[in-house]
Amino acid sequence: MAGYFKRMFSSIKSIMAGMRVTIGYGVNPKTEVTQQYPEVRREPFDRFRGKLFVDINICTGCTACARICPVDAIVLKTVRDENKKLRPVVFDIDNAKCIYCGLCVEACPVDNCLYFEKKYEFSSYSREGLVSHFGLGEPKSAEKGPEDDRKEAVK
Amino acid sequence: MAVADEKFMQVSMGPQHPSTHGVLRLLVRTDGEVLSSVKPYIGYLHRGLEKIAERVTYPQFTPFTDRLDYLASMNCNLAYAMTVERLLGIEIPRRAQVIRVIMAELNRISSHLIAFGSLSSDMGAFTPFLFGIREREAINDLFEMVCGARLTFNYIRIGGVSQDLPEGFTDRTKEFLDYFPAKIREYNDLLSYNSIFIKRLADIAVIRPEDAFDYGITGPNLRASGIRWDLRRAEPYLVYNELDFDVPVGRGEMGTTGDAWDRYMMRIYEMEQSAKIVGQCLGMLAPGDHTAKVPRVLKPPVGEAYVRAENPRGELGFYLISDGSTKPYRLKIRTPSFANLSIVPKLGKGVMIADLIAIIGSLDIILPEIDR
Ligand code: SF4
Ligand code: SF4
Repeated sequence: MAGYFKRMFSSIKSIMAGMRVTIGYGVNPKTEVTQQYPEVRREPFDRFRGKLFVDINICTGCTACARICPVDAIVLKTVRDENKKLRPVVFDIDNAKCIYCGLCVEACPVDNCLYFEKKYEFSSYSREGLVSHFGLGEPKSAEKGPEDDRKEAVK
Repeated sequence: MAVADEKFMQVSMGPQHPSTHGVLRLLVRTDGEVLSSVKPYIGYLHRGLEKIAERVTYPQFTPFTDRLDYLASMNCNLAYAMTVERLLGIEIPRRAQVIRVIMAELNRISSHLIAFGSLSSDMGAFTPFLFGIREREAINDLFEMVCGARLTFNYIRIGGVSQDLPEGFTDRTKEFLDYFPAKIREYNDLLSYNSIFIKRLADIAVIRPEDAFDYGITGPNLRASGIRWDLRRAEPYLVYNELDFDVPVGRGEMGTTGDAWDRYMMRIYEMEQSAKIVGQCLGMLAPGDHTAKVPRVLKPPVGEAYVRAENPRGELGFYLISDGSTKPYRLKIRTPSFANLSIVPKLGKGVMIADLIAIIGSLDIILPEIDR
C-alpha cells in the first residue's frame, strides 16, 4: 500500500516537472519561435540554394552544367553564330526535376553566370510552368551555319 | 483487414500509418490485443539508388547519398566521400576533416532530436516533438548558412567539403552549444523521466546482446544493449581519435538493459556527447584548405573499397567496386536501419499492439535508407 502511494507521488512529481517546462513557455511570450508565414517571410542565408538563374548573356554555352547535372534537369542546345561563338539557343531548367544539389553552379566556369537565387516560392499550376526558359532563341540573321556546325550539346 | 483463421485477425499496419516512420507496412496477426506475429513489408520507397550509382559518375552520386538517410545527410555524404577517397588514395586536409566532424556531429544531434520527438509523439506526447524540432531548426539554420540547404546538403564531397565555413558560423554554433545542454535538461524533465513514459518503455522489447549480434544491430540500439561499440572509437576515422568523448551504453536504469527506454536514452546521452565533440572541434579549427586537390574527372584505379562510418542510426557502409572508368562498377550500401528493422518480427512476438509502436519508435528506423 505504501508503495502504491509512493509511486503515485513520484508520478505526479514527474508530471509536474514536465508541466513546469510547458507552462514556463506558455506564459512567456519571449520564447515564441514560430513565424506567421506569409505575413512574415524569413530571409534565407546568402548561400541559400533556391531557384536557379542563368545570366544568359554571359553564358558561353560550354555545357559543363548540363553534363554534371545528375538528373538531367538542364536542357541546353547551342549553335555557332557568325563569330564562331557558341550561342545557347535553348537553355531550359526543369525546376521540378532539379534536386538543388549545386553541382552545376560549381561547374560553371563563368563568374556570376549560373547561380541560385534566394527565391523559394515558385509553385505553379502546371508542370510546364515549372520550367524556366533562359535560351536566346535562334539567331535572327538569315544565314545559319552549315548543318554539321550545329551541335546537340546535351547527352 | 482480413480474418486469417478463427482465432487470429490479420491487420495491415501501414504503409500510411503515422507511427511507422515512413512508408512501412507491417502485417500483424493479432489475437485480441496480443500480437502473434509481425512481418515487415518494405520497398515502397525503392528508387534503385545502387543501380543509379552505376549510371552516374562518382561526384554525381553524392547528392543521391543525401537521399539515403535524409535526417542525417551529412553522415551519408561523409561515408560515401570516404569510400571514394579510399579508392583514390587521397589524403584530405586537416581543416576539411575538422569541418566534417563538426557537420557529422551536428547532424547526429539533429537526427537524434527527431528520434526523440517522434518517439514521444508515438507515445502520445506531442509537445516534446515540437521542442525537438525547435532545436533542430537552429541546427538547420547552421547548415543553411554553410551550404544553402536545410535537408539534402550535398556538402561533404570527395576530397573535402564543398565550401569553407562562412563568416559567423563559429559564433553561431557556440551560441547554440551554450544553450543546448539546458534544452536537454528540459527534455529530461518533459519526457525522459516522466513516469508514464517510463512505464510505456521500460522492460519493453529487450534486445539481448546475443540477439543484437545475430541480427547485425548497430548504433545506439546496440549500445543500449550494453555493448560499447562505436566506430568513432573502435575504428577512428577523421580526427575522432584526438577527441575526448564518452560512448554511453545502456545500463538498464529503469528496467532491463537493452529495453526500449535504454534505446531512447542512448540518444539523449549521445546528443550531449556530440555537443561536446562539436565544441572541441570548433577549437581545433585552424586555417587551411577546405578540400584536397581532386582532379575534375575522377577515375579511381581498378579495385574495391569498403568503408563504414558511425551514422546516427548505426553503421553505414559503402562497398564500391571500380573498373577504372568514371562510373562505379557496382555500389552496395549497407544501411543500419535495414538490419535494425530485421529484429522487429522477433521483438514483436507476443507483445501488445501498443508496444509495437514503442518498438518501432525506439529502434528509430528510417525508410528511405531501408528501401534505397
Ligand atoms: S542544381 Fe543539381 S539538379 Fe539542379 S540543375 Fe544544377 S546540377 Fe542539376
Ligand atoms: S556552365 Fe555556365 S557558361 Fe557553361 S553553359 Fe552552363 S551556364 Fe553557360
